[in-house]
Amino acid sequence: MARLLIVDDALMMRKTIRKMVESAGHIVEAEAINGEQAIQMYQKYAPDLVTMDITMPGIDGIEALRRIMTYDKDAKIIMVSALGQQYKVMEALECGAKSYVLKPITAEKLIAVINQVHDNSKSGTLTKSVFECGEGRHQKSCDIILGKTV
Amino acid sequence: MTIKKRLRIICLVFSIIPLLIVYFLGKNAGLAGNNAFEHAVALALMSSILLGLFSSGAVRYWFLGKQLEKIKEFCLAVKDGSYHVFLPVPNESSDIDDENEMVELMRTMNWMAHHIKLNEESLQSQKEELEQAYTKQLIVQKKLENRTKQLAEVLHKVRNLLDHAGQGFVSFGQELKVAAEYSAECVTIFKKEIAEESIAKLLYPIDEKQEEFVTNVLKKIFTVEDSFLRETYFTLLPNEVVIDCTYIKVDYKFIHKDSHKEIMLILTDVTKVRKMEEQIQEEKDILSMVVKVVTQYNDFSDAVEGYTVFCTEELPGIVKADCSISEKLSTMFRIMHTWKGTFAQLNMQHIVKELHDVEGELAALREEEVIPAAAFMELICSYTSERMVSWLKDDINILKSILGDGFLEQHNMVNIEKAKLHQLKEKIRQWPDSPQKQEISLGLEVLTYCPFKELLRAYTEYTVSLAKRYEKEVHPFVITGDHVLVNPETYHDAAQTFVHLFRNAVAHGLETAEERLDAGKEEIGRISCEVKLIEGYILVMIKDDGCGIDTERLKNIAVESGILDPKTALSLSDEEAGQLIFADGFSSASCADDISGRGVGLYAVRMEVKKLGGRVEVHSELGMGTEFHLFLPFPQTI
Repeated sequence: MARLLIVDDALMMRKTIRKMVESAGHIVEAEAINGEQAIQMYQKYAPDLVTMDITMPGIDGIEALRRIMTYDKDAKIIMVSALGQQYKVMEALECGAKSYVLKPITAEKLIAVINQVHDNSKSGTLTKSVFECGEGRHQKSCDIILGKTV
Repeated sequence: MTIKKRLRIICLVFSIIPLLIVYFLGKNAGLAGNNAFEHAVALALMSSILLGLFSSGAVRYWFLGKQLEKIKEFCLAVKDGSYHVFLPVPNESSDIDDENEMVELMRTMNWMAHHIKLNEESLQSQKEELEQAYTKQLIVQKKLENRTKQLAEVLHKVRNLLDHAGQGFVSFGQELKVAAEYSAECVTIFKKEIAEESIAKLLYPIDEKQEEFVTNVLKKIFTVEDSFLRETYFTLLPNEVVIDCTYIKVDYKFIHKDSHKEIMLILTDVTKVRKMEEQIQEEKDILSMVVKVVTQYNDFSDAVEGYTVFCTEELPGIVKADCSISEKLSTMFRIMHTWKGTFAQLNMQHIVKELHDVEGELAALREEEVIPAAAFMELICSYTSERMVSWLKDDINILKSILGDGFLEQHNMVNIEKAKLHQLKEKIRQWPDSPQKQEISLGLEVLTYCPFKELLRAYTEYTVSLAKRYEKEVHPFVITGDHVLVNPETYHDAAQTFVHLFRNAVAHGLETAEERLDAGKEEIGRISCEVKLIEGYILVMIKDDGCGIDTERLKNIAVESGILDPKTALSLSDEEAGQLIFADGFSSASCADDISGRGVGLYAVRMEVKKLGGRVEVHSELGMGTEFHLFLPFPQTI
């Protein structure tokens, strides 16, 4: 189960995504209708995952992604792209987006990507922490992960 | 010079020297002329020479004896490779000075031979080992050769297979240059040898932007470590490319072995499939247009008329209007856009495409800060009214070729030849299943539908003429009621049986003119038929103002003919008794004629209606008339 922030300027899209993710057992922490709001909401709720529309008025999805990544380099952001936006998607992936889904979105695809990014990030954290443990830095967190302390 | 000769010289010298000393000492002592002295010296000299000559053999024997021979034999044996020889030597003396050099040499030689023997043995064993190793190596080498041969054969087979698989197999590493090994199909696809070529350039030979994009994505794929992200990047790569009018499907395979990374592309020529799909799509679009035009004929007719007026009258008016070019462009753009939408609604592909192009040109001109009048005029001149009307004609010609020339001449009604419709249906039936096929099939199906009233239309005249045969009179009538489109095939059989209801109305319902007058009714009888659509049913009401059904008489007949026992007959309500007329073999007529009276007609009606899942009701009032209500299920799928 992941806590999500949905960013899209279209109400219908937000509703659709919300319905899809909630029926898959995830929680929608907040919704944002543009890039500015997305950044604020991210800082406020620190969600596990973000679904970010690329084309939005004002600060667009790519810029919002950049700013969120600067704020939190471990942010897990999934871009929502329209057909023919592969250049933008590429740019987003280079900026740190974890994956993307293509409109029209199907519940199957969206949930698969969310689960993969979420699971991937969990295993990534573990690997990273174990590595840091070897260097004797975050011993405590490592011990927790390895179950040495409660 | 041999040792013997040397020893002889030495012996001679050493035996003569003392004699010479004695001679010179005697001479100095004044014995030079003394004969005895000289005889003695000469004798001594003779003896010395003889001694010198013959003592060398003795000296040699004493010094070297047989040892030299033995050494010689020894050396010869060693020379011949026999290292088992041994020179007999005395035991080693503790006094080194007393040791004979020759013996020492012989001992050394014995050691030498012994060591040579040991080394030879060692070498021999090593040689044997080497020979064994060599034999093993030969076996391994033979095996290796066989294996290599087998591998080469397998490789050849695989390569042959790949070359004839009809697919291009090509791989490349991080430099994004095609590796030397690729299948023969690649040459067919790219029309050249492709070793060392840039893969992105091969996929997009004339699209630099796309080539750069593909290059960047491929580079990313090689550098990212996260396999999930790598898969995501893969999805950005094209699934299909067009190379020189050939559609190529591209599948990707990432090969990661040890530190070596490689991507393999599997290229499949799908041109035939795409062309066929395009052709099918074109046919689908056309048929979709046909269905739309036929089912929305009024809209089509209005659009054709309106568009023609726009092209021939309104457009020239807009061009001449007293306003700015910008305003003219905006008006034209808006109207063109509306027409595009209207025709798109009717799936008229050809004109939509043309209008889309004009719209594009108008939009491009509108974006100019200052619209050049010349460019505007050039645009207007290139799109003449005739040209724009001709686009419409192109679509209409397609429609005519399918629907027949007469379809445009109808007003508010489309006329399609049955054979043409059948052809269309056949064509669509052969398509693979798709939502569009379903939609078009349904559309065409509707074209074969007719108003339900049409199925009953023939009965009106029939009823009037039938009445005459019974010497009865009935007002001419028409089928009234709702316009319900139905599939005639569905309701055909039931509608056929309804003839019995009209016959019944004439034969058993209506009275003769005299009877009617006696009953205080109008001389001429009335029969009506109304069709209504109510709650999923088509309700057919056939009504006459005849004598009505005498339920008591029906009960009697039923009892008499054994259909009912008297007790049950008594318990029947009027409505239930009315239903008796639908029983098999039930007839109220005293005798059967060619028209009525065999008692099977109404039974047939009930059975056909029942088959459709409907029901029949009969409402009658004695002396007033009878009304049949037929409820036929009507699925609202259209």
